[in-house]
Amino acid sequence: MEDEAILALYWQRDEEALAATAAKYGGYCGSIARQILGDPGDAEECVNDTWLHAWNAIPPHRPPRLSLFLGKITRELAINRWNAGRAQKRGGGEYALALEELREVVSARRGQPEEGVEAELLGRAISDFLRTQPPQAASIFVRRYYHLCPIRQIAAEFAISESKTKSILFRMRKKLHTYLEGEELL
Amino acid sequence: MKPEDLMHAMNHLDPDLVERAEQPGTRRKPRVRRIAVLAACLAAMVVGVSAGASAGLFDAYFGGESDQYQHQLLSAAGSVSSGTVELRLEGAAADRHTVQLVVSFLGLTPESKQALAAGDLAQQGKFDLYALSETGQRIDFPSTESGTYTETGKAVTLLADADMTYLLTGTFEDTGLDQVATVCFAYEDLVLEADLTGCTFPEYQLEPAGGTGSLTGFSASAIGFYFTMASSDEPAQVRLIRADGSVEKDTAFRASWSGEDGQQQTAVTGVWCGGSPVAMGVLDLDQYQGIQVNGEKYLFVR
Repeated sequence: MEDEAILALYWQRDEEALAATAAKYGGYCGSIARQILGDPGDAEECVNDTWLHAWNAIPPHRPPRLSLFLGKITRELAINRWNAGRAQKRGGGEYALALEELREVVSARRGQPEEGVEAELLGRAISDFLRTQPPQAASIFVRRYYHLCPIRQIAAEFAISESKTKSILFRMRKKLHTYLEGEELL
Repeated sequence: MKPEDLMHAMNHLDPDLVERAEQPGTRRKPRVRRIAVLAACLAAMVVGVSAGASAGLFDAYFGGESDQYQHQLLSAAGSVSSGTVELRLEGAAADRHTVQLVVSFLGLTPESKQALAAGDLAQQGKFDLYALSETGQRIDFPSTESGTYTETGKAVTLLADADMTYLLTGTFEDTGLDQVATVCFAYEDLVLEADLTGCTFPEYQLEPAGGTGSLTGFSASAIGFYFTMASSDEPAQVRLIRADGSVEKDTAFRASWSGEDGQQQTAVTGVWCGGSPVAMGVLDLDQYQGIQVNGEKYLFVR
């Protein structure tokens, strides 16, 4: 079913929208949730929560890209679930590994008090940074830290070695650190 | 800021960037292998010049920002065989000082497989890496190194059928490779020849940022760097200077120092590393404005 038709069901408050959404995006959202949570049971609960959040958000929201909209919800829910500690008891998935990698980006300077940065502002800054980078490197960064894909999977998708994938991510993290420092966001 | 903050911020990425990353069409297609001209010099039967390695193996040895330099990296350049052992030249890169070859060994009999697995052939003195001038005269490298590819400290054979893969490095203190037409790798009676014509990275001179500096003869390419410094017990600290003027906190490289005892000057030759201490690094020099050595800044003369 086309996204426009699915959205029309949401706006008509027809619960068939949920079945259509699950049929079309269940795999996509499930993949995101599993990458973060590791446990299939936790991931399934997260995906079910995604449909509920979508039902409550549409209308009034009319997302121009339904897949990205749903993916963002799933991702946020899965991360919150992971942080809440429920998932950690059963295994942290790729999320824990990716967090450790990102620690290099945010290492605080000594003597500087840490201040909160609005997530949306930071997200825009990261987007601005990624747009200045080679498209392949930027996409690899997104696949790793947005989609939480394992290194092995990214290497296969881009037809490069795992070693090169790690190397690209290493350099991107370093460049991002420099960029965020320059923007005084760190 | 915590890493978790970055993770949450990723949820506010430009949707175009997320969508692009998800599209199969924007992902890299398998690399087209470029077969360079290769002169095979055999002392025994030739099994055939084969297409060689998968793109994955090649990528493993040339880490870094090598995408735009693929045409300068010799890849899948052929093989020679004696009937018991096959040597395969997986790839090569060179500038005016250094040549690096990636060579795989395949045992064609159970006995030869066992022999290859028994120990480091280089340590047994069974390798010979040398060069030939245009007139066929042998030129020895003043310095050679060999190593098996390692990932996380463990030797890894990256081809499904290879019994061992070596990274071989030959360096000259001066621009000796200007005189070289062919680089040869010999094992027992087999010789692989690599014609590096058109596959050599240019080197760029560097000058001290402040007008004066302690190093002389400083040059660098996408694969290595070279300079002469006062003899010292302290290893040179080499850091790349990014295009924005900031200095990398750490730069992966391997270097060697050479000189006679009592000499006041030491020649330093180094190669960039990519992904592991054995894997070669290929840099995009446009991303950098120079190199800092022991705190002194040197800038590329472009």
